[in-house]
Amino acid sequence: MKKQHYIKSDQDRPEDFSEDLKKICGSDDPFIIPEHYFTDLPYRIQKKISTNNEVKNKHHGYGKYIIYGTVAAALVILFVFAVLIPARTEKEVKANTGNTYDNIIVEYLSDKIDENTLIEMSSDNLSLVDREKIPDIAPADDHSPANNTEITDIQFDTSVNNEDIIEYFLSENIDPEIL
Amino acid sequence: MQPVQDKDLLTLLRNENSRSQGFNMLVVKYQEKVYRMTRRIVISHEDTDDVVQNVFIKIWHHIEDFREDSKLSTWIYRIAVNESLALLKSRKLLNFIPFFSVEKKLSESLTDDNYFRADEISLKLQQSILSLPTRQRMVFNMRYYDGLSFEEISSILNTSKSALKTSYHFAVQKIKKKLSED
Repeated sequence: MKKQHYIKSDQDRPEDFSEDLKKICGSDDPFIIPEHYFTDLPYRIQKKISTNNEVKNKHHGYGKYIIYGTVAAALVILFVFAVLIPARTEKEVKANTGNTYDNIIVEYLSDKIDENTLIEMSSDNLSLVDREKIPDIAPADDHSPANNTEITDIQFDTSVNNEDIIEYFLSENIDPEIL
Repeated sequence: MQPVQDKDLLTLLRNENSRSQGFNMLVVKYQEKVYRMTRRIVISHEDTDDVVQNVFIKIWHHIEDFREDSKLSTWIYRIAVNESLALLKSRKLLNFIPFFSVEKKLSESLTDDNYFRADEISLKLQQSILSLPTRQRMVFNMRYYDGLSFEEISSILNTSKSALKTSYHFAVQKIKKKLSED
């Protein structure tokens, strides 16, 4: 069953239901506007707009400084990492290498090392002093014969003969043809 | 003196050289209507003053966005309604007032308001209006006091005309009932 509506359509509705209310209560606005309020309202609004714009511009100005500052700081950091630090490291390497060569030459001239050692040390870039600084990799007491054993030749077990091999194949059921 | 036409106002506002002049003329033309509409929603004069200023500042900044899909007055009233509701919402949030109590607080503030003068029946009418839900209250005020057509109210509140008529009808019924109870 279709629901019965209180108000059926726009045509049934009166445009205004409040005529009798207006007769009783009136339709005058009870809210009072302070005297001269509207006289200076346009001026106050304009003033507020210009103040807001000034503040906005000021912030905008600060914003510009912040951006410039950040860019400058980034450039300084980039300069330090890309130019200063690599240059310094290179300088240090050169200085260290120079010292080592000097030491090797001094050692050679003072007859501490022979010509072959000079060549070897120059290629390794190590002086005697530097070599002394390098610790021995192998422990001092580790000279047991077991550690010094060198494999010089492969040793075969010659006690195994052909019959043993055949017997092994038979016991394991392995066909020698497929090997 | 002939009131300036909205079309002329818009022409002035869209020209950089005449923008300030056009804006002043717009404020003079609409300030009272915006004030009264806002005042009926937020009640106190001080709050109304804040809202009215914000409304016109918004108009100044966004006049370029007005595409003349509706009348200029409708666009201005819509901004006024939105700003007023935003203020009520902020009051509610700031003071931890439940939504249904905002109107109650406003109703209580009526009697203390220096800028409110009404006889007994008018005060009762205002208190009855403030007992309505916010949307119904706005529809009632726009129709009853501002004399706006349902079509215009529909554009301002973005609601269908038939829904507004129903809303207005129920608002009147509730007010009548409330007045008869008192």
